[in-house]
Amino acid sequence: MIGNIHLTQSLKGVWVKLLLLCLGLFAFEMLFSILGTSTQIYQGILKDMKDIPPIVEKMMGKGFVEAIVKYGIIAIGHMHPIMMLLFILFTFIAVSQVVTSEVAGGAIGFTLSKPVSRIRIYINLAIVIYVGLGCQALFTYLSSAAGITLLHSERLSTGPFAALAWNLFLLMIFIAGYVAIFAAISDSGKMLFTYGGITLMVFYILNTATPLWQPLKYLSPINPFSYYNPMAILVGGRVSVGTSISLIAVSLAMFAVGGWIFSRRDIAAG
Amino acid sequence: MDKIIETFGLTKYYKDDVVGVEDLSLSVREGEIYGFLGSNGAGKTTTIRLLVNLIFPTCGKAKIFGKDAVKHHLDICKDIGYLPSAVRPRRNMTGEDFLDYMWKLSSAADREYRARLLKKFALSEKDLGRKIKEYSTGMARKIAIIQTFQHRPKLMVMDEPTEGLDPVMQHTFYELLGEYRDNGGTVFLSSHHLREVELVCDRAAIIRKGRLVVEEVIKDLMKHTARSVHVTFKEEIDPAPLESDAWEIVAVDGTTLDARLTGDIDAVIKLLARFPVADMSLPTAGLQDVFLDYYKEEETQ
Repeated sequence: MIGNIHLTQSLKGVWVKLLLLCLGLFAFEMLFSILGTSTQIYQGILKDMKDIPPIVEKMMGKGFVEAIVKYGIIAIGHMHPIMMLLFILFTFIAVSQVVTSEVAGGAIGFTLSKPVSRIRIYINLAIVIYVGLGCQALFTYLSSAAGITLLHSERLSTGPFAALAWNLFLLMIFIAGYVAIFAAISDSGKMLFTYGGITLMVFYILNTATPLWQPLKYLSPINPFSYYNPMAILVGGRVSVGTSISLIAVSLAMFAVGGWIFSRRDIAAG
Repeated sequence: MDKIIETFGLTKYYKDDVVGVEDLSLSVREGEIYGFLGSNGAGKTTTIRLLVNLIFPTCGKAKIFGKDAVKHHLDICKDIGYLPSAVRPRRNMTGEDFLDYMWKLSSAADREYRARLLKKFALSEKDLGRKIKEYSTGMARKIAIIQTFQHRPKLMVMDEPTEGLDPVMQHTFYELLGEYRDNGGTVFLSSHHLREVELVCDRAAIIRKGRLVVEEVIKDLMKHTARSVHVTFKEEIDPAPLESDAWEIVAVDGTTLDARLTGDIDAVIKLLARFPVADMSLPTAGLQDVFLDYYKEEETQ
C-alpha cells in the first residue's frame, strides 16, 4: 500500500515528460510517413540505393537496402541513431528522476524515513521504466501504422512495425538494466548521465564496428545494440521467442543486481 | 523511564578509513529532548543517518524502541519523524502535495493538527500551492518541519532543525518541541547552536572527532564547568598572592584580572578580600563554556 503511494508519485514525476516524448515520437514518425507519400523522394531514394557501397549495408545491418527500397523514407525513421536517442533519453530521464530528485537532492531521506523499503523504491523505478518504454514502443507502432494507413499503399504492411516496436522495447529494457545498475551506485544525475552515457556510446560504437572487425563479435552477447536489427525485421524478419525471453530475463536480472546494490549502499545525501 | 534510542559501540568508517563516528554508546530516554552537540564534521549527521538507516554501521549497533535499527527499520520508522539537515524536500512538488505525500507514507491523518501547524508557521494556502523549488530556504525548512510533526510520531530525529529559520520561527519551533515533549514525545536533535540546546534540551551529549566526550543532564553539565571570573581592582595589583587551586588566572592587566573558577568560590572570595575590589562579575556557566572546555581539552591533548 505504502509502496504504491511511492509508485504513484514516481509515475506522476515522469508522466508529463513521457507524454511529451511519446507525442514527439508520434509526430516524428508521422513526418516520415507523410514524406513517404512523396513519389519524388521515393524515386530519389531508389536511385541512391543502386549506387550504395556494400560496406554501408554491412554497417547498417542485414536487409538495409531491401527495407529502404520497400518502405522508402519511412524505414529511415526507424534506423538506429534516431530511435535510440529518443528511447535512451526517456530511460535516462526516468532513472535520473529518482536519482537526481531523490538521492542527489537528499529528498530520499524523507522517503526512507517512512515505512517503504529500498527494494520497493527500486522496484517502483523498474515499473516506471518498463511502463515508459512500453508506451514509447506502442507509440512507435501506432505512428507507423497511422502513417501507412495514410499512405494507402498496397506495397506496405503494418505487421513488421509491431515486431519492430517489440524489438525496440526489448532492446531498451536491456539498456535500462545497465542504466539501472548505474543508478544504484550514482549519487547524482550527472554521474549517471556520464557513466551511463559513456557505456552506451562504447556499446554503440562497438556494434557499428563489429561488421568491420570480426573479433568484436565476441562482445556482441553483452551488447544491447546487437539485438536490434530494424531493417531485417522490416523485410520479414521477426524476434524469436527465445531472444525475447532472454532479453527480458537479462533486463530483470540487471534490475535485481541494481536493487541489491541500492539496498546495501550508504546514502550520503539526506 | 524506557530507553527509546540506545547505541552500542556504534562505529562508521567512510572510504579511506575516515572516521564518521567511533565506538559511540549513548541512550535517549522516553519523553526527553536530547541534544547532540559537536563542531562541523564531528559526527552528528553521521550518527543521525545511522539511526534512520540511510547509512550502515561498520560495527556496533543502534536500537530504537528496543529494536535493531537496521533489521527492524521498516517497523521502527512508522513511529519516527525525521528532519534532515538543510535538505529541500522534493523540489517539483507543491508544499501541499509534499505534505500529503509524506502523510500517506506515514498512514496517518489529522487534518486539524496539520492546520494548526501550518498556522503556527505562518504558511498560507497560497504558499502551499507553490512549488517547493520556488520557496525560500526558510519556507522549505518550515514545510520540512511540519512533515516531521504532522503524523505525531513517538520519536523525532532532527538534524540542525532551526537552520534557515528566522528568530520568530525558531521560537515557534521551540514552543512546539516543548509541547510535543509534554505530550510524551521524545526528540533527538543535533545542533551546533549551543543556546538552542541549552534552551530546549533536557540532556545533551558532546561529540568530538566521532567520539562521545560527555553525556549528561544539561544542568549537571554546566555545574561541572569552570565559570569565567572578571575582577576589576581599584588599583594595580600583584597577582602572586592570588594564586590558588580554586581558580586558574588567565590574564592580569593592570587593574583587571580574568580567571576561570574551577574550585570553591569561598576560597576565592577570601583571597580577593585582601585587595581593594572595584567590581566583579561571575556569570553562570553556559553551555558554550562547557562546549569550549571540552574542545579546549582536545587542543591541549
